[in-house]
Amino acid sequence: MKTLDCLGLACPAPVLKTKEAIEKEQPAIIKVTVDNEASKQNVTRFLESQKFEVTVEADGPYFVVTGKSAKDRQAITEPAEIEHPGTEKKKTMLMVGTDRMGYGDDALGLKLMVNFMSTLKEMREELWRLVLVNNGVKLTIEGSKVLPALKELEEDGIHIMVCGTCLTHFNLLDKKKVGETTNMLDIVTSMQLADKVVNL
Amino acid sequence: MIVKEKRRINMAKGTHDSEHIIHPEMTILDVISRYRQTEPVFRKYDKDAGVCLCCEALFDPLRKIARKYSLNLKKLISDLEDVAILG
Repeated sequence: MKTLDCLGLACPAPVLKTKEAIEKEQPAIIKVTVDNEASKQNVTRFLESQKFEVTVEADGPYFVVTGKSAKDRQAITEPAEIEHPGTEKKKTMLMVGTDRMGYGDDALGLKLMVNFMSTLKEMREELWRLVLVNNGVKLTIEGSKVLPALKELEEDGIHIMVCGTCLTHFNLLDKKKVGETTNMLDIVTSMQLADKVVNL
Repeated sequence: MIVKEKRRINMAKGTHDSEHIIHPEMTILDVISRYRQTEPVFRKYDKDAGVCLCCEALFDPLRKIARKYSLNLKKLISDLEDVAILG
């Protein structure tokens, strides 16, 4: 495993160091410690572009971005498949482009959405990323009835991605209370990496 | 003279365009990875853009960045090339 200490470094230095390490050493696992949001997002995005599966952990004021290469993931999952065929963890991405569930009655649609988000945790580890776009971003702002459910999902390790363009469009950038602001490239990359994409 | 010099550098670096070593479709990461010395040029443009370009647009092509932040693409590329060719 390759470990990089990028504390005190501003972008693009952490990404350049990560890029250099991957090109030179091709590590199966790379762990990059950064101390600012931009570096966290850019290192994550770079690793994902290099087909690494990325997890981010907060460590006090720092972020530890860990990337696992496809090769390494294969090495880990292959024996499990032999021992327990069919039990490998699937990655489901759920894309939500609305703040109501279904059409017809808005009040009912909102009730259903609250219920839906509270029940999502039943998907357990299969739920990998929740991507909120268009009206869906309104679910993440203060006062939203699904905010507690979303916070619970995030605490359980579900990666919640909120469309930055949409938040800006609705002038809600400062009101977002859960999830990570994201962009279209990250959304498309997530779709590529997911085993299944469900659109709501 | 400068064009001649750029051609020489292009050949040395294995790039194909006879006049430009930096193209509008290159991302900031592409440019800085290849020509580390160009980072201060992007920093200089942060003020005009109103954001830290290396933080907010590292993976975006120069053409898109210029359009998004109302920057002069030709001047940006020219400024970058001036620094890049110094090695």
